[in-house]
Amino acid sequence: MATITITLLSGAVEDENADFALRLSQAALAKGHKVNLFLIGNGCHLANQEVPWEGERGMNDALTAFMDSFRLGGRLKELVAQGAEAATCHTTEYARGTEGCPYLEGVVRGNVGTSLTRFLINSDVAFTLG
Amino acid sequence: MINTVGIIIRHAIGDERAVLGIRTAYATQAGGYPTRLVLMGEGVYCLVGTLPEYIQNMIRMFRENEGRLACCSESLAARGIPPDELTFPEVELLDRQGLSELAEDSDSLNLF
Repeated sequence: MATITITLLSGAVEDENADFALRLSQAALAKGHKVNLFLIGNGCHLANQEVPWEGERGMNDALTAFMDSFRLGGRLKELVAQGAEAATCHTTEYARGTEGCPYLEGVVRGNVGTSLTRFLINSDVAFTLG
Repeated sequence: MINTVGIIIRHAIGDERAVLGIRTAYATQAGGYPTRLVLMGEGVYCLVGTLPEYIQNMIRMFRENEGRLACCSESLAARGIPPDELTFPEVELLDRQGLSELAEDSDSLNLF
């Protein structure tokens, strides 16, 4: 078994890197590997709880279904529940004004100097996506 | 186990990924992982002209911590940047062979 650290730079919607990172993480966990996710840059947006709009959304079913495919919070929450570790770069959250937003359960506030280097200590593989 | 880290930056300073790569390089070097930071493509613009104080400090501290700073010689040539105009005089110039060796020598290679 190996420990894999993925530094994710992309947010959920801008490209498929975040989707790929979560799929890869899911596959690795299923094979018995350990996964660390470091969420930096736009990747930090994955860490936060959703804040649903309460009013009329103005989106038809097809558009809603399409946009739902980009919403990754539930999948990240599942990964963490299955044992993946996820930490953010709070500096990039600060730059986006989201530093105080609630995290998904199990995701923790972090930084490059401590969180990422701690992930690397026990990693067999580490790479960036985004 | 990861003992050495390679960080390649392909974006100019206006792209956040450049800053994140430089910061990560400093963090891994200071955290005990011998790190080589390589600027290539548009990333070579992180090594010329007037840079934000924070970026200058990060690169300076990376070097003070014995981090290896390099850039792709082909990327410089393609942009008409003479090596002697780089803001940091101690930059190591790497050709394709040098980049290949970097990849081979790094336990973890990270693109920003």
